[in-house]
Amino acid sequence: MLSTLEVRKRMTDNSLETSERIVLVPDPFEVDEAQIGRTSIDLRLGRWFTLLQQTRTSLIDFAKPRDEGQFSAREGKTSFVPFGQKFVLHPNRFVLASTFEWLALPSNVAAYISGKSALGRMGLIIETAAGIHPGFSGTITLELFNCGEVPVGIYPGMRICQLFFHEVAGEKTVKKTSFGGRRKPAFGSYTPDKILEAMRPDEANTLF
Amino acid sequence: MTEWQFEPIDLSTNAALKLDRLIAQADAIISSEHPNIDSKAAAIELRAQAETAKRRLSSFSQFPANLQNSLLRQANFTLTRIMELLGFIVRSTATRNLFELYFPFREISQRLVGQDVRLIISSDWRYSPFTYPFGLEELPKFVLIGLPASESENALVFPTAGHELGHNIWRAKDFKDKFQADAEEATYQAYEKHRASFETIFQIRGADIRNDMFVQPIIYKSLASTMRQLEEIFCDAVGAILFGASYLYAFDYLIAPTVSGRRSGEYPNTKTRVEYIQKFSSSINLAVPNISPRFMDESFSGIATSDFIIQMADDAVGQLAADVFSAAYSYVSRHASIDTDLAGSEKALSCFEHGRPVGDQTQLGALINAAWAVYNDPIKARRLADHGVDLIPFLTDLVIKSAENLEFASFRNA
Repeated sequence: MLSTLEVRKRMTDNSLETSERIVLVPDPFEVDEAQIGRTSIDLRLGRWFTLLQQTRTSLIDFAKPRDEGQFSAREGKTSFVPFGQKFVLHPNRFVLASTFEWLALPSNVAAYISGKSALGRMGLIIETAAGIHPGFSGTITLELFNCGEVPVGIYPGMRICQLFFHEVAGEKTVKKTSFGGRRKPAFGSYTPDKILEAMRPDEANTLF
Repeated sequence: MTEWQFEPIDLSTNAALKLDRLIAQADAIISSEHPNIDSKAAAIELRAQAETAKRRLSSFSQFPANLQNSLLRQANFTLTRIMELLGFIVRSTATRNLFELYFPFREISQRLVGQDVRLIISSDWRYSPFTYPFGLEELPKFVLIGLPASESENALVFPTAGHELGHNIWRAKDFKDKFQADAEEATYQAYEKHRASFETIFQIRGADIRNDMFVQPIIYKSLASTMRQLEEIFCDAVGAILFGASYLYAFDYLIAPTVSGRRSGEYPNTKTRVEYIQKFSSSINLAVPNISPRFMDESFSGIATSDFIIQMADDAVGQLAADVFSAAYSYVSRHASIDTDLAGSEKALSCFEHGRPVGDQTQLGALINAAWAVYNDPIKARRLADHGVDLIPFLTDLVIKSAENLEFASFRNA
């Protein structure tokens, strides 16, 4: 794991190529030192939220592929919450959000995102797919879920999660399609794996 | 045969009911999600005007018949105007809009139009960007700009909002009055220069062009066209000064080679407009691309009198275009501290081509210029596309995440 001093070095070292630097915009080291821990950096909540339209979504079948653009247009409902306003997440409700910061990782650094204990103890879960691969560039989509018993008010610009950085050992490869992030939270595309495909009977032989 | 019983509800009751229904819709808009305070403020202001119109109707029966009709007409007029503006507001709240650009552009608008102005940017179902005239009776302090809905998620065409802002400056700062006398003189000179053609086309021989009462209405049609064209040139200048090369790229993207293909007296020939921008931009060391060959000349109607009126306006505009551009530059640079070399473009470009936003607080124009520089460079564009991104939405995200820093920093500095 990289210390935040090392992260800072890799953000500002002019001898590194642009693509080999860690990028966080806005820069938490300049915004507020309270965001900086020994091995983690707090990130802030962005202004866009995406919910599933419950009136339209009948079933998300993970045996079927999903195209991000089509799925979001048909099933997603997007909200923009200005700074100073709140988004209320009710118990048992789920919403996609994104970090306010844009993160870009070089080919030799990966990261993990994690919730903040002060929020988690109130029932707010931040993220379930926490790994961020080398070469990623974008805002990080957050999967917010209120597993508590009372509604929680969350505010764009508030510190919402923390990021840990890891050096990638061994040979480094970056998938060409690695710029995964956008400024708005996205459901993402989905392709069922080949084994699952092979297990699936055709419609005529479906048991259930 | 059924005989219909018709006992009509009186007109004032209907008018009050219609206003009530409008107020209910305004309430729904006020309580819906607003990306910024200005759209909500506008809806509240319009609602109050509907209330005022309804209150006027409360003593309807005490007025004489002619005033009663006037009140009813006013109520209908209020309904028509407010409906249209509420529709514009609703479209400004659609999440397809680039809400994050509102803050930096509002700052620019306040510097150039007035510190107390409010801004609403909508994505509208009209292809051409447009603005309402500044100083609307219903919303006198609002700059209202509509951009095409189909391009609402494309920050690269946002510089066209600079042109629309120009219309607001032209009106708010009385530039029309400043150029009226010069435009009149230039138009008269055009007619004097082309007297022979004028006399042939209009079959008026030996008239005193400056005083003949039959000639003046013709010349005033040209003058109106001259003024409209000068306003367009002024707005092009504002767009180019605020956004540099990206204004021309956006213009090219939306309009080249032409939209209607026909000349109207409202605008200069589009190709000529581009040539003016290129020529005058270089005079203030503003680097812009040579895109005029991508435009075609628009054709005239073939009606000799109408065409001549526009041609005389074109001639007058040719005499004054440099002065108008210079006036725009002088005004904008004095009030908005615009850096014509758009410093920061280079840094933004080096970040964008690697798929990263800019951390510094960089001018909006410089950011959009950098995005166009990537878009127009096949190697840089391909390099980004190879990372599996859709180029325009991705560049839009980079522009916006960079521009957002200006707003975020305003809280840090508060």
